[in-house]
Amino acid sequence: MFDGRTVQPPRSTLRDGIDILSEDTDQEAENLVYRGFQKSTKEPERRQGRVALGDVTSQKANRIHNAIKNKFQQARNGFDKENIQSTLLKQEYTGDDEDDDFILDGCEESSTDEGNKYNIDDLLTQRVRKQQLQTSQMYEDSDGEMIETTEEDVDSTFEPLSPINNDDIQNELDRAFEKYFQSVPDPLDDDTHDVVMAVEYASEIFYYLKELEVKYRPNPYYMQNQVELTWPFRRTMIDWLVQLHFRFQLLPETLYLTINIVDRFLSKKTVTLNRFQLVGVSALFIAAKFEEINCPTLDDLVYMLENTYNRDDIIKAEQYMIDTLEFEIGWPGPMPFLRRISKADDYDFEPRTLAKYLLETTIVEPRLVAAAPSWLAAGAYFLSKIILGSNDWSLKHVFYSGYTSDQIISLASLILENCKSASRRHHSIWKKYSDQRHYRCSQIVEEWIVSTES
Amino acid sequence: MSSSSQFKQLEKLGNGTYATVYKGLNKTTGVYVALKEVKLDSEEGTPSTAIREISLMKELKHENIVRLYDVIHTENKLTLVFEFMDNDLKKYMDSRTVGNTPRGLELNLVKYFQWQLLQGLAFCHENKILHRDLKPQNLLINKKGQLKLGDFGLARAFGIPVNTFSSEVVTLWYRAPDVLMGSRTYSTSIDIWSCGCILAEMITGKPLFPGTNDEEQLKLIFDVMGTPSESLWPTVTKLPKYNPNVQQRTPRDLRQVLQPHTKEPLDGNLMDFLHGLLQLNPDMRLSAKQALHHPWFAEYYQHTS
Repeated sequence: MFDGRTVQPPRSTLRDGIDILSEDTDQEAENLVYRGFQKSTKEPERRQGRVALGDVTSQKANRIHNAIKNKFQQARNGFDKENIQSTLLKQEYTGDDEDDDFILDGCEESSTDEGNKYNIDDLLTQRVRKQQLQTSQMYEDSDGEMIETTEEDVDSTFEPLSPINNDDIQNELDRAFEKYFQSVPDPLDDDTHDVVMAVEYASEIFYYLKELEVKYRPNPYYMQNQVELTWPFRRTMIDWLVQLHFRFQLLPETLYLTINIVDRFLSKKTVTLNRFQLVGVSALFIAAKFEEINCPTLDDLVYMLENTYNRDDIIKAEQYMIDTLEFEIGWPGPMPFLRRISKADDYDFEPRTLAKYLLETTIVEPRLVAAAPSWLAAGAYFLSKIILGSNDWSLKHVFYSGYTSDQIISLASLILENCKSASRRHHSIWKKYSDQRHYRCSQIVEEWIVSTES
Repeated sequence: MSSSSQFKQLEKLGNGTYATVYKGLNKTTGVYVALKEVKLDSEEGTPSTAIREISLMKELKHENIVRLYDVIHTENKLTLVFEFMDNDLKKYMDSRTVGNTPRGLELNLVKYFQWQLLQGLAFCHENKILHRDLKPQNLLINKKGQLKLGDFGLARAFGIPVNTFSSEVVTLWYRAPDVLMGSRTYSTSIDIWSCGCILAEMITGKPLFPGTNDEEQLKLIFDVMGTPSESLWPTVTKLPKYNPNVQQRTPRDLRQVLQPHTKEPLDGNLMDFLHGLLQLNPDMRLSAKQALHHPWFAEYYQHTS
């Protein structure tokens, strides 16, 4: 447990037993050792009360936070490194170079030993090429430091990914609808008698959720309007938010909502680098208030932030963000859609469980910032089934997901591509899902990738 | 967003679950509004109740749900500008009390209110929102006889399947037996139980199960509805606070319980309808949609569709 807060109720639905996180402190601590924050000594014995546990948490929090701060710092000071990163990042998006090694993660501690990992000549060549193409500009950040940024930081030229549509696809969707739509609940279906499935309202609700996912869509190009922020910074922050979210044992819904709040806010407002983390933590605070039974307290958050921001900062940021979003917080996120698709396989546990990992990896992908959660859920589930050796995407799957395989393949490929560099690209997610309690999902995906490549 | 200077604050209307409500006048349009003021000096920033209430109510536009017009966010308070309603159902029923004897509403009014309550509720449920605090105080009425659901401070969005929620919801008297026994996987049926309690209360003018604590609340329910049996409610024994040693009760005839408190005869349709709402087993309760198609409402749906 994070601290002396009351024990959280089991975070499970009837069907999703695997969401329960154990209360085992050692396991918990074990799980929280992210790469780059390795503990040198054994954690002190668990003592009674908040203060004692707080000490333990504090050490970990400090480590994590310092690492994050360093990276923000590094990123801010090290023009050269940042330039290299954005060059490389651009390559990742435009797909000019397929070499995974060139995807450098802004949040990775390992960037310090890049000399060993990357061919420095290649890097320099690219830098020169890039400098020929770009015009640099200077501006002053809020601390008075001069920062160099580039056109490419501001204007990451990539196209957001979205599902295709054509007559064939529409026909297939129509056929699925005709075959499986029932205006009256089927008395032979177990769900009909299960109160938590709210069967009577299911089709109306999903219709409505699809409206909401469009309504609460962020602007996929918002980074172009941000002066100081870049996609690597976003990735750094998400990595940190994933850790924070995990530490507080919050629901998956809360994580997705947090990211949606950040992205929608950034679609409307420009944020300086030194306030970026504040935006992230306030988004988590808002999302938790909306979704959770037991929400982390302000003190919890300030504590995890190591006093970078104080209570008042968070309260003000929260209020400003809520107003900016005009209190429109009810974004559905992908989880209800994932469970819905799972019905096509009688709620088979395996593909849904694996899909949860694949789905979570999408939150760091810039091309998917504005992707519909229903589509992300379909893509993750589709890939999950392939990894588990079943390639059938039947009309039933089309009906419950709302997408045909033709619409999903490009998305599934992108998710898979990203998972090839999982431990660097989405480290904290990869780490979290390599744990036994998450059924080692990230390991399973890695092993599968290796087996297909050999 | 409008500014607070646009409204003239008039008399206090009451205290909500987390706020004070005043009558207000929109100075530019001359329209009365209800101003719900939430203090923001709290320890935890904007209260989660306000975040939920506002974000959910912005989505809910229906003639049987109180309309949220606007929100004014200032440094130390949040003002929600609602459609003004003359009264709430609780005060209205209280006003009919003669001496110490409560008087129920005329049955045709009961039916009209219940119909509107369920219309509003069905809309909430179709929009994946549970109200979770239905009670006469939160049902607002006006002189035209309209009834609207208000106070979404405890409401929340649900997914499918419904996630686990807090069991600390709904005012005790209107809380469903499954929730009283610690169920966290409740769904739309939680609001339906409250609707049943409200219906009985409108008929008699007094609360059906006025318990003072969880235990007594369950006892009052079982005294009338009988103790739950595994045959009719197979999962009841698995609920966290299920007590196998509770004194066994057989169900009483609801009509006999209610009839002494009203002059009008309670017909079979009404009693069947009420039974449909007050099922101990949440899976057996009517949904709001089904309830609206019950023969008791025949005169309404034959007119509308």
